[in-house]
Order: sequence, then C-alpha cells, then structure tokens
Amino acid sequence: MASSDKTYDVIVVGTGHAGCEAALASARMGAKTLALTLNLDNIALMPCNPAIGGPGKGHLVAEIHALGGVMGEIADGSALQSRVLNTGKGPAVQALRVLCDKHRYQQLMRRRLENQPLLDIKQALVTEILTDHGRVTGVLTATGLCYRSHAVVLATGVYLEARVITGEHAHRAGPNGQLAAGHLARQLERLGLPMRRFKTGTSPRVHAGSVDLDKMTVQPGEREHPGFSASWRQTTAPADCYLTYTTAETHAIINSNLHRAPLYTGSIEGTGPRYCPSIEDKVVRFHDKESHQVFLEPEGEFTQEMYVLGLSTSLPEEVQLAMLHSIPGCERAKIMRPGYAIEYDCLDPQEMTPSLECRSRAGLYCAGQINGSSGYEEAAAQGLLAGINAVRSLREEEPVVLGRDQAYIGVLIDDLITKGTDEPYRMLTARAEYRLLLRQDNADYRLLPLGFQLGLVEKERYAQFCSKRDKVDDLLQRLSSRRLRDKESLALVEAMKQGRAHPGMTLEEVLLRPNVCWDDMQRIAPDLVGVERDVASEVVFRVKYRGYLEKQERQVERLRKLEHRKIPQDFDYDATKNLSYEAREKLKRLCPSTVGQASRISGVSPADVAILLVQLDARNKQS
Amino acid sequence: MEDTIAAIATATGEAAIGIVRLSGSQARPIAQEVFRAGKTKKRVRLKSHRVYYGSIVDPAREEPLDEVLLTYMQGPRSYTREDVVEVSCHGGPMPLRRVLGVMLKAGARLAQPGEFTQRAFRHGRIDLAQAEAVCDMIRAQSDEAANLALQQLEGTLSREITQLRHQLLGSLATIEVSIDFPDEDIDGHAGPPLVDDLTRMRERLQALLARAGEGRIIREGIRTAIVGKPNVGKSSLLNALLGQERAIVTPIAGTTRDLIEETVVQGGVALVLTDTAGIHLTEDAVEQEGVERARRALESSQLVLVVFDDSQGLTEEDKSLLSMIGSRRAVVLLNKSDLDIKKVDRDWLKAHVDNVPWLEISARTGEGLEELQRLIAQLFLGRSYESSARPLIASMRHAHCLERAHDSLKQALEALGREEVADIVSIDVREAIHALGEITGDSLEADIVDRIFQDFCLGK
Repeated sequence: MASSDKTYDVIVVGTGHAGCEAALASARMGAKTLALTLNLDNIALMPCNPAIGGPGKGHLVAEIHALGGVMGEIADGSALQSRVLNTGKGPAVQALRVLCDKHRYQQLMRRRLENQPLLDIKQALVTEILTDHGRVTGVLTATGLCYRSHAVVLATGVYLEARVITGEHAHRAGPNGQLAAGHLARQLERLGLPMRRFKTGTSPRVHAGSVDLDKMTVQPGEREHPGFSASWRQTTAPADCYLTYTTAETHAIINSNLHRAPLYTGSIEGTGPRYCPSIEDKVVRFHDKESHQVFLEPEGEFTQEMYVLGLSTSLPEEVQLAMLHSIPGCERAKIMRPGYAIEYDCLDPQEMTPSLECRSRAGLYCAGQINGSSGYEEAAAQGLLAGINAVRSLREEEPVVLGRDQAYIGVLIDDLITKGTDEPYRMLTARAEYRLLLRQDNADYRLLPLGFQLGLVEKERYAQFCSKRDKVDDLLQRLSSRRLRDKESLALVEAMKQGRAHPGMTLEEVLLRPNVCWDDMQRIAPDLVGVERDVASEVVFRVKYRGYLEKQERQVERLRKLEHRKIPQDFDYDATKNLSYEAREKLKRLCPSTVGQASRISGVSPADVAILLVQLDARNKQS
Repeated sequence: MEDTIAAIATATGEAAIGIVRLSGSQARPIAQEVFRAGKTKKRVRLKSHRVYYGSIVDPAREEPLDEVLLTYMQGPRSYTREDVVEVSCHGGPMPLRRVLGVMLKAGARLAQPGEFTQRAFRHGRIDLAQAEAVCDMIRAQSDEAANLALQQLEGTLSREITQLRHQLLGSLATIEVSIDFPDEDIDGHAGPPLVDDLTRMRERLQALLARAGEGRIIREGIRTAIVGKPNVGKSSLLNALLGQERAIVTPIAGTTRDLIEETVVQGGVALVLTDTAGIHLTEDAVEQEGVERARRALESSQLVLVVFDDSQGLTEEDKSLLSMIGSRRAVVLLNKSDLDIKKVDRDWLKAHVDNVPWLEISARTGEGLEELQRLIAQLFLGRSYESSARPLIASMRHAHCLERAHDSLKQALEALGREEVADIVSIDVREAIHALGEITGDSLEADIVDRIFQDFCLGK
C-alpha cells in the first residue's frame, strides 16, 4: 500500500456533527488532525429535520458550547427561527430550539473546519482501520492511500452498510443518495467488535409553493432571546413554521397500504427508535387517536423545500403523496424528496470505555450514531468528548469523563456505555436523575472552567464567566445581608400581599416568598436596577429553589462517593467469590471504571457493590 | 466521613437488652437531638467514652419512648472508627424500633446489611482473608434479608405496592412527556387530575402504613399489663391465657426481676403479658419499689387488663386503678364469674368507664376468654382484622420505604398547592417511586422512559 507522507496525531473518519466537533477539538487542542469525509459537500449535513435543540438536546448544545464546542455558535449563525420551550415548566427544563438554514449551517461549519490550523480535510472513503498488536496505527482509503496516526475517531454516522428503503424499493446508500461504507463495517466485524443493526427514517419534503400555508396554524418564532452563544444576533425576520393535522382519510390511506409498508412486510430488520416512529407506526399503535400533528418547517433561505415534521415514513412514494394530499393545506403538495427508512450497522456502545475509546482496540474512539445514538446534538456531544480524549490519551493525560450530576453529556455517555441501548438512543430530560442541577443556563458554571483548562475556551470568554460568577456571589451576599428597616420599603413588601413585612427582614427573605419576582425586588431596592439579566436570573433561581437544590445535592452526594472509587482494569472478578453470578458475568464483560458505574449495571445489587468496595479496600491496603 | 447509618445491633426478640447503633459524621448530633439526660430531661452535649442514663424521645412531641443507657464513642476509637453512638434499650422489638425510628427521622439512614462491619473494615487494618469473611457476611445477610423480604411481600401486599408504583410511574410519565415533548398535543400538565391522582395514591400509602403498624403488632405482640390488687386472680388469668393456647412463644426474660413477661399468640395476635405482681396503694417502703415498677410496666404497655374480683365488689383502690389507664386501650375483667356472685356495681361501671369495655370471665374455668381474644383483636386491628389475616408489612425497611414514599407524595402535593412548576413537582414524585422501587427492586430511570413511550404517541 502507498503511504501518505504525513503522520497525524488524530484521524477523524466522518464529518457529520460528531466528526466536526471531534476534528475541531483535536486541532484546537494542538494535535495534528486529519478529517476524512465521503463527500466534502456534505460536511455537517442535516439529513433529518432542520432543528437544533429542544428539551435535553438544547441542554447538550449549551454544554457543548460551554466546553468550547461549536454547534451552538453555528446554529445561532444559521438560525431561521428560535423558540424557548418549556418556559412554564421550570427553569431547569427550559430549552432553546433553533430552526436552522440547513445549507448555511453546512457552509459555516465547512468554513470553520477549513480555517482551522493543524486540521486537514480530505474527501476519501476509508476501507480499513489499521492496527498493530491491538493498537490503532492509522487508516487505509479506497484509493489505496494509508494515513498513519496515534488515534482514530470513528464518526461514521449511518453510513456503515447503509440501506435506504422506500416502499418496495431498497438500495445500498447513505442518506441523500450518498455512498454507503461497506468495507469498513466488515472490517470492524473482523476486529471482533459486536455489530448491531438499527433503523431510522425521515419525512418527505415538499415545495413551499405547492402548499396552502393559510390553511394552517402559524407557529411564529421569537424575536429576542439569548441564543446558545453570546454572539447571537437575529439578523433577519424570523421564519414561521406551520401546523396542520392528519385526517381520517390519511389514516385510511395508511391502513389500506400497510401490506406495502417495509416496516410490516419484514423488509426492515433493524430496530427503530420509539420516540421517532413513522406515521404508519403511530397510526397502527395508537389507532384511537383521530389525528396527528404535522409541522411544516422551512429548510433554508435559498430554497423552497419544506420539511414535513410528523410524517416520517417508508411507504411507497405514491402512497406518501396520497397521504399528503389528505392533509389540510397539502392538497396539492408536490414532493421534492420522498421520505425513507434507513438501516445501518452500529457498534454495541458497551464496548466503549467512559472516554469513548474502544476497550479492545487502544486508540480507537467512536462517537455518534456508530455508538447507537441518534440526533445531531447527541452526536456532537460524543464527538467533542471523543476528540478531547483522543488528544489527552496521546499526551498520557487522564480522560475527561463527565458525571451524571455534572452534565447531560455525562448522562448520555454513561447510559450508552453502561446500559447499552436497544434502539437509537435519544436524549430526554427524563433520563437525568439530577435535572434541577443541569440547567441550560448554568452550563457555563458546570463546564466552562473545564473547557478553558482544556484550551477550547478563549481567555476572554473565561474572564467574562468569572466576572459573572463574582457578580452572582456578590449579589447573593448583598441580598442576605441587606435588612429592611425603613417604613417605605416595608410598606412595599406588605403591598405585595405575600405575607407580613417585619422590620429587619432581609431582601433574600422577601425574594424567597412565592410570586415575588425580580421586578418586585427592584421596586423595593432601587439599587438592584442595574444588575445584568443573567446575573439576576441566576441569583433568583438559587434563592427560590434553594430547598430543592439542597435536596438534589444530598442525593448526588452518595453517588459521588461511589463515582470516585475507581476499579483497576485488571481487577479479577473471578477471584471475588461472593459476587452473585449475574453480577460477576456482567462486570467481567463491561469492565466498569468506577464503582458508581458498576452500581448502575442491571443485575449488580447493593450487596455486590458493598462486596466490590470491600475487595477494593483490601487490595489498596495490600499494596 | 460518610453519611450516618443506624440499625438495631442485636438480634430481635431474644435479648433482654437491645442495642441501637449509629455510625457516621452525624452520629453525635443525631443522638443529641433524641436523647434527654437522666431526671432533668434536658439535652446534653455528649462527651466521648462516657455512659449516659436517660431517655430517648420523639423530639417532635418530647414524648419519652424508652429508658436507655447511651454511650458515645468518638472516632477513630470506636468499632467502625467513625463517630459511634450505642443506645441500650429495653429488649422488646417495639422499643428498639421506636428508638431506631426517631433516629432515622433525625437524619440517619437505615444501614444496609453488614454495613457497620463493612465500615469497620474499610477504616481499619485488615487482611485479605478477613475481607473474604466480611464479604461472606454481606452476601449472607443480604440474601437472608432478600428472602425475608420476599416472604413478607407475598400476595396482596406485593401486588399493592407494585400497582402503586406502576400508577405513580404513569403520573410521572405525564409530567415527563409534557417536559420532553412540548410540541405534542398531550394534556400532560400538572393540573387538577395530577393532584387527584397523587392524593389518592398518598391515601393508599397511608392505609398501607397503618397496616404496617398492625403488622408490627402482629409480629412483635401487644405489650399487655395485667393489673389489679392482690388476690383478684391475675396470676390465674395469666396461667389461663398461657395454658389455654397451643402456641406458646419462647418466654422472654423480664426486663426487671419482679416482672414476668410471657408471649402468647391468641388467634393471630401476640400478647406480651406482664404480670405486675399486684398494684396496690401502700406506705411500706419495700413494697413501694415493687409497685413503682408495676406502674412503669403499666406505663409502657399498650393494653391494660384490669382485673376486679366480682365476688368482692369495688373498693377505692380498684377505682383508682381505672384512673391509671389513661388513654391506653383497656378491658375491665370481672373475674370469678364461676362463683356467680355479681357484687361489682354495673351501674357505677357504666357511669364511670364508658370508653372501656368490660367482660365477665372466670380465670379458673376459662369462661369468657375467647370473647376476650375477640375483643382484643377488635381493639387493635379494627374491623379490617378479618380481611388482613395475611402477613402484613413487618419489615422495618419496608415500612421505612413506604414512609419515605408517603412523605415525598405529601411534599409533591404541597408543591402543587404552591403552584410550583412541573419539574419541581417531578422531583418528589420521582423520590416516591424510588422509595417504592427499593422494596420491589426496580430502578426508575429505565422504567420511566419505557413508560413514556408506552403511554403516549410521540415523535416527529
């Protein structure tokens, strides 16, 4: 084989959302990095709907941003519309969702990659991961070129053995008529990595000129909001989305064509996600439901293409058309791209360590859909961490592993590697035990110092954060020490009708009362008027929710203790006789890196955890 | 230091003295919260390696639960090398559980099987062979606990808890769906239906907890004092009760020399009988001591059997006994019915003790004793007795979990009352599901996601 002249520190295979973050993080941390892509024009492609964010997912983006990743900035820079969701459901579950101009998103990301020092970008189909004595040494491309490196990040998305299915038609391809990567899948299998087959799907796209938007409900975007990044500016008028519904006729069309649905004919073998079912699945499983929501979302400023959210399907194209025509406002809709199902190979994420390195192949990192996840944000989060950890490992530094109490990214990776997944994994806030601690707007508190330490957050941004942190501390101090004694202030407190005012009460006590908001506080203490919004909202949150925060902190405390107990990778579970059979087998297979992780494996009981702790102590005392 | 654990350190029902042990950073503050010294009944600042005499109280009501000896041992000079408090109580399982109960309320956590030894081991020097022994012990104890738990969770109770947890998951799924899928047209808001659901489930937990109390009574017995002046037939009654029953449980040595304790199972209800050796008013100094003890036995009892001699009529001394019953459950027994001399003034009884049932018996012939059993069962188990003949919640651990679930739901309802947002309400609902899951051995995180997709039609 021909060898390229260059040796890299890190090679990233794939430039989807995982690959982009991995490549950028690696290069920005100072590692010589090569990103290989099947098609340079498809960098950061959004093959599904054009939104970034939402509950759980918006939290991930905020965390990526706090760590120095780029998804948030790029989403902001290409925003067509944005909305803050869950405003009435609690400060910790509020989440931003940005509808992006897909093409602009890709352009901004591509510019970012191309301008990044130490990062080379090349179009190439990788056919083989090169290894030597269980260690990764580089990759081989279809054109016969070999690139050497110390670490490889696999971010191949759905391209491994991909098969696209619409009705009776199925062919080997990635999304949007891309190439599928077959050699690599077979080689991973040869390396002894357990593969599994997943399925996902997408909706048809229609021409905006062919639909009657007046018949639908307008879903306007918000004009002002902070964005994922500080650099957010709403430059153009926000675009609108439109809501309509499926009808009894739609459901009848689906029901009479089920014999042609690949999902039911057996032509699809892969496991699909429950949170993203096809419309045929929804109609069959919830047959009592008379109609389902359908959203029309613009895909970009320079295109008439609209995404039909809620209508994911792999029914034959003519059935898709008939379905659409039965929906109010879509009677004359023209399909620009049909919906399809896609089956692909992925790895069992339980093969990965918490640093996302493959346990059996040193230097091989995996991120995104190859790990069984789904979603742009989930992919980007893993990509960022895999990139960071690839660089840290070649510098012989400890990997960055985020806790479940520290970040949704921590929950995501821990769930994948510890519990595995039987379907494409999507982040949900319900998956996080300590949701109150993981707000989108305190991601900076949780992760920005780490991002700075890693060299991914600029000094200036870190200084801004420190200044905010100081102001928050200072304001908390002021509220708890300022006592109200003068008659006017106390009269104002009484006037709020939230309880009696007593002389000497602190501003904090006033704020603690239900229904007292920051505006009220400013009336009582005019010197609070100048306080920045983000500082005030952080302070209000901490005062108002103190009781619940303390409750969650107490819950976290026990977890942390177990999380700090590391299990050496050479720990001999067979020598620990008292473990239950099931626990021993699972521990041997999954090699958890901490007792905390071990405790979350199903079949590992509290008694097994106690036994592990004792054995680890005994071991420590021996040495 | 680690969190503070508590447990009963002696085997239940066997020893005259039982020990409740606390270990961890909060051991001393928790002990100080529930301990009142000697006669002064005051809180004290405990000094290390000293023995204190006093009582354990429920700090909410300052109500004394048991007379105890308490020792505080500051770490590392203790069994676990952490701060340790040991409280020696009267042996019966009831006082031990009560003492443990207030400690848990004051912030201790119920220890896992073998956890004290595990801590002792972890903080001490020990070799691998000993580690093996510690692990064997943890395994054995937890298997035993699991077996017990299974036995105790048979039948209706297990179904009830599983069902409750399932319904709570449904309520939580409704909240979670509204948070994770805000675009879906689902009514998943924390509105009135949620309040109704949670209220109903809280009531069911309350009912379960009430039965937990019954379960304890059934397992551990009702502390019963037989009182009456000398020669009214107390000892014959004791013998009659003991002799009549086939199932006599191991005699428990009395906590005080002059008191005889016997446990007898009467139609599903165990009575821990104390013969008080004759309460009567006396000036005699020697007898005074005996009487004082009898009074104490009466005070710590849950049921008082007041025995009068129907062939003699009521004296002032008899009448004053009735005033000692206080709010305790009691039955007045008019003994010696076989003599058929009804001298006790029925009208006086009706007028003065209308809240205490009375019964004619003959300790000698056994007449009326069956009726007595029925009456006791009714007094303690109420009308539900017939239907709850199955094993009830007898495990402290289970009762503790149910209590936590109940308290969490209460807090969730309070949060709803204050119109807190859905996310805040979910914290307490989750906690309740966790607590029930500790009984059933299920984890919440996997189940809630399944539940969301099972109950709701979601997705783009």
